[in-house]
Amino acid sequence: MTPVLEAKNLTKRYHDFTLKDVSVEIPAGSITAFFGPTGAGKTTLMKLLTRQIPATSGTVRVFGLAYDGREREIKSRIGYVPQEPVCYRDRSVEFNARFAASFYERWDGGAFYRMLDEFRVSREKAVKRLSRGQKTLFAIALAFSHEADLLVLDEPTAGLDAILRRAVLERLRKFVADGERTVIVSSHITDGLEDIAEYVNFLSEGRLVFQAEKDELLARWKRIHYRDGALPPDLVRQLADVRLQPFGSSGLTRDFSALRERLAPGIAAGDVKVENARLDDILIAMHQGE
Amino acid sequence: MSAILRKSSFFFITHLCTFSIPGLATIPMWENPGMISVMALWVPLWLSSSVLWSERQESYAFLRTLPVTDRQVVRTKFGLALGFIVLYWVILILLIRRSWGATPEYAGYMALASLTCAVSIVLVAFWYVFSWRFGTTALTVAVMAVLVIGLIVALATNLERMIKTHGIGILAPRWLAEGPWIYQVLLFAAALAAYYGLMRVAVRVKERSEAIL
Repeated sequence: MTPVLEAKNLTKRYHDFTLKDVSVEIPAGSITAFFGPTGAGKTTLMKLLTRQIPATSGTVRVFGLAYDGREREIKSRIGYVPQEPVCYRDRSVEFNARFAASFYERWDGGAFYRMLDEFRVSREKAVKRLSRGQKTLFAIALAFSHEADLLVLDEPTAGLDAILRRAVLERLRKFVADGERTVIVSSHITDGLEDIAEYVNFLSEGRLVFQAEKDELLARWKRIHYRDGALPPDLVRQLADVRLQPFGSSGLTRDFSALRERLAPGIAAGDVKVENARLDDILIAMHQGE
Repeated sequence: MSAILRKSSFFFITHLCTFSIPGLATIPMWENPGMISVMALWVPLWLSSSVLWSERQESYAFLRTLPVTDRQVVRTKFGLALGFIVLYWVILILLIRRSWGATPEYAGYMALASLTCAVSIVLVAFWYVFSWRFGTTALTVAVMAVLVIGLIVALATNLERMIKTHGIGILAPRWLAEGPWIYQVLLFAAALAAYYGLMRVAVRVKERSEAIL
């Protein structure tokens, strides 16, 4: 699949933090998620990918174009939702929308106001008077209203209740449904995003620890539930995130296919059960296993 | 660009009104044309204040999310400020013509207006570069310091002379007025060249800086 965004050896140095040598390719028509703990560098990466901040080194190409000399053209096709709302905070939602609209050739004011109404965000209120969740929804509405080809969202579900979170995720799913538009999303929690993301990346301490297709990841990683003594000790030692449970223990394997044969007798005897691992558990296990 | 222009021009307009209305009203009423020398010396201060307040209200992080380049933003801001400096100059010249048309003092006061506006051109450019490099907090401290010092200097150098003789309190405009007219043209040309140079610097500074985000 053609990458809609390519970053090569992207590095950003601050005095107290460095995002090191990140290379990613984002396939068109997909939802790609970047997970990682707080302070891992997700926001820095999102800002670098959308040219909010300059990189110390490395390159970014979006829609096959480099930002230098084509920034305006590229940004007109990107909808960006920052982690912290950025706009004229003392001015109303409507003022900010009109201001932003003046920069876009393809601005759909009707869609913007319909979304505000759906999310119950007042258009007359000053942005600083909105709640955290409403500010995020306002930013999401802005990003959706200029017929962008690429959405980049930094922690878009933070501060949203369960109903709104689902509504936003559903919109993201619909956005990519035509197979031409793309979503990049970052979050420190997987809640809900694991259902819609096709590609998963994990950042930790400024490094991209892994990139994988979600389905492939979930096929490899499994949670093994077992009665104590049902598995040989060397096999138990290979498991990550081992937890004691009322009727035995459970642990994660990062390569289920390699253990399948050794687990077969236990599964047949009913002493071992295998279930899909949760993305959260996989990410934590990876983080701890570094 | 017109949205940025409209948003940024608010404080330039209000400051220009504040600057010009008292001048237009008081000079004919009080018949005190020496007031113009104080007004002229305050031009850089009014413009510094305009830059400060418009920068404090700006949201460059928002602009970075929109399809507009730093180069376009810088050019818009520099163009706007230059336009307003021209307006200050025109207003001063109109006031001076009204008070001293066809008198020997006219040249001196015109030179004063040209000098302060030329200084303003460079000062405004400097403030923009300073703001984009160090952020609005640093800009606030620096501009406030300059405003206080500038007010004291403007008053100290002019007040006594203005009251007693209605004359200009500083030497440079008199020297400029007594020289050939080309000096004033060269003064503006040098200021504009510096302005253009600082604008190019400003683009590079703004593209690399995160102090304003």
